[in-house]
Amino acid sequence: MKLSTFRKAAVGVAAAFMMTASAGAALAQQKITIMPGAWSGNTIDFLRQQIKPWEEKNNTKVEILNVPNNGTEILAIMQQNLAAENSDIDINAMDVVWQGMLERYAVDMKQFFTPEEIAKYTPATISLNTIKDRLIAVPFYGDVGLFYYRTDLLKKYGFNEPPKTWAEVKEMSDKVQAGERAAGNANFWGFVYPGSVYEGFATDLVEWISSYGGGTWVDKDGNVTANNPQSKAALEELTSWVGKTVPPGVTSYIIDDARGAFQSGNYLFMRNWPYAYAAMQAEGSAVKDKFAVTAIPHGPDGKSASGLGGWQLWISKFSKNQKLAADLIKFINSPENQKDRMLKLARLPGYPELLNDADILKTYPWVEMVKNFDLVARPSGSTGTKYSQVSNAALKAVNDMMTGRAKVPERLEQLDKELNRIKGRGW
Amino acid sequence: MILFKRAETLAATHARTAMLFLAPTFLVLAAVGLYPLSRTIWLSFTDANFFADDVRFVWFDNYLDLHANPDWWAALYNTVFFAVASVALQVVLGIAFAMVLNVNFAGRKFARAANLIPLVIALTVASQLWKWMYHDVFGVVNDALLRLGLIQDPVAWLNNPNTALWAIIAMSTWKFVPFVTLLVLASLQGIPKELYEAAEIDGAGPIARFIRITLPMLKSAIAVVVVFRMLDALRVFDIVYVMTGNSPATVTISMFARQQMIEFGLVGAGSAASVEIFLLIILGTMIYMRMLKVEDR
Repeated sequence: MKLSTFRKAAVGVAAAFMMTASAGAALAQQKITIMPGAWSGNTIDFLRQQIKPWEEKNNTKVEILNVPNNGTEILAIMQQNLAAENSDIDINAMDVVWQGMLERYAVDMKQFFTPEEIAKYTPATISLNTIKDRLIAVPFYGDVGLFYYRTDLLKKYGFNEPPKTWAEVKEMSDKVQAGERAAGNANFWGFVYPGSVYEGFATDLVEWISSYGGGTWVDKDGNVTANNPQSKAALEELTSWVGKTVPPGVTSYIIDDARGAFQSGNYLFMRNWPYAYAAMQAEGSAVKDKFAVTAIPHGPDGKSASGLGGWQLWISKFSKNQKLAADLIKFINSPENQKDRMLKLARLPGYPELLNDADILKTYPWVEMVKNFDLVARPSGSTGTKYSQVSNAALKAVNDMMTGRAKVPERLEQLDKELNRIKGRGW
Repeated sequence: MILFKRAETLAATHARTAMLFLAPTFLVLAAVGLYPLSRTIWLSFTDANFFADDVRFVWFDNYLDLHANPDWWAALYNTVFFAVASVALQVVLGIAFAMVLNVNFAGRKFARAANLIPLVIALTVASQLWKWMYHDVFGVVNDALLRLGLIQDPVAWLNNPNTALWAIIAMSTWKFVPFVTLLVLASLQGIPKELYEAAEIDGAGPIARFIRITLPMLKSAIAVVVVFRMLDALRVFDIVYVMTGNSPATVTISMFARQQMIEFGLVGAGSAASVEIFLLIILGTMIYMRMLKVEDR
């Protein structure tokens, strides 16, 4: 009797322990950490809202890391983490030019995504993200270079069409800038873009030189082509605008500085990504319903080409929750979520079929036009792991030209040599 | 004889005890100082990078590449220029401020407290503040100078390569003058009043008193301040990085090393640059040691 009481007590204690333990297991959440690229503040809150249902369904906490809104910085943070084999970040983001540098740290998405799921994305982007037959990332959102212009001001000064060539941009800028300044707005400028020495400006640069027929610094076969008459003409013209049509401060602007400047109402033209459209159409914006977008202008010998941008999501090979992470990426990229991100934040969906969506076309009439844009890519495909150095060399050279530290022909010659030095025995 | 022997054993015991007490410090120093340093030196002789796992020994290739790179020399020039100009300004202004604050006047306590404000603001925050003040369109600096009629058009202080480095030097001066003032003031208060009284009786004017008494008495304090600030200025990173980013007109050697290593993933090349920065700082420290020795004599 006594023994049986003892046994009962023991069983009871054991049961209590087991119940506590299982309750603990139910409470212990899994965790996925995601670093979604150039997202910060409001956009992170937006993403957090989108992810919430998935968190609840999978009993998983998703931590979204806030990083600088600057691609160069994000790459630096990521490379440090990956070189240290840090397993804390499960999902990383990747600019469209980093595949060569990050490929070795990424898992093959084909083990988590069925061919049908992969086929829904734009085939060009999928092939860009396929390295050595491994799908290292899936598109998060797309980006194309857009040329923003003030509809009200062009009309006011008698221009019925947005500019098609850089010469027209200059002509319109001169006229409107002179007029607005005479009317008392001393801070009015013709054109603004993110001209800082950082990756965001590298896309503008290939747009500039390729719009004159001057290539993309390094061609598809890996030959350095920086120093050619067309790129020289492009840089002679466009860098000479700084201080005249373009405020001298642009050499420290990143994209959101340019967006802020244009949104203040004191600029006629701006080169930016689609996201700026949603931000500037928001309530309280000084330029709401006063602007529109068109294709990037071109030079005398070239044709218009929009810089290809965009971000991908990928899973770190050091992640301990790869399968769960892949599931989260699928959820983030559900058609509903992609559409919502486009409608609210103007982040182009990775599914081309969504570009025919009636709501999207109604909110952004320019999407129809964007589908037919010619695209130009930064030379990351041919330069691989050395792309950062190539891009930095070009950015520094153009910065020297813009700030008047060097003359265009000599600096371009020097850049050509520098790129060949970086290339060394091969990319 | 016995006494002598005993003394020796006592000294040995003392030495052993001292070593025992010092051991933890040495161990910590080795872990946080010696190990990273020797690893950096080793890496600087390899082609280590973020993109491949196999590391090759390349002897002095990284150093030769570094010396062949015009960017390195430009960064070195920027750094030395920044260090010399900003430290010179800081010391001159710091002494002047200390002299003023050493005089009795109404509100001296308030002035002394106000003097410390720049020191307590975090460096990156202060840099960002100054960046906005220098803004070409909204900046308060341009606004003030335009109103005073000193400039005709707004200047993009941080974008114009002729003004960028000076604008950063101005910010650094504002930030570190209080530090110099503080140290000099402390030393100033230690100068015996009798010296000034005696000089006055001998007919020395204020300038003579400053040159013959104040400056010689401040010599050791100034030497410490100069070398302290110099070593700090030679490894400047945060101020410049926040204010002008990777702009080639103002890149410093620390930024160069960081870019090679973190942005380009070239760990070997970045380590070589770091080692040269280290040697530069060592050189500065040796000069500092020698200066202190001179003072001791």
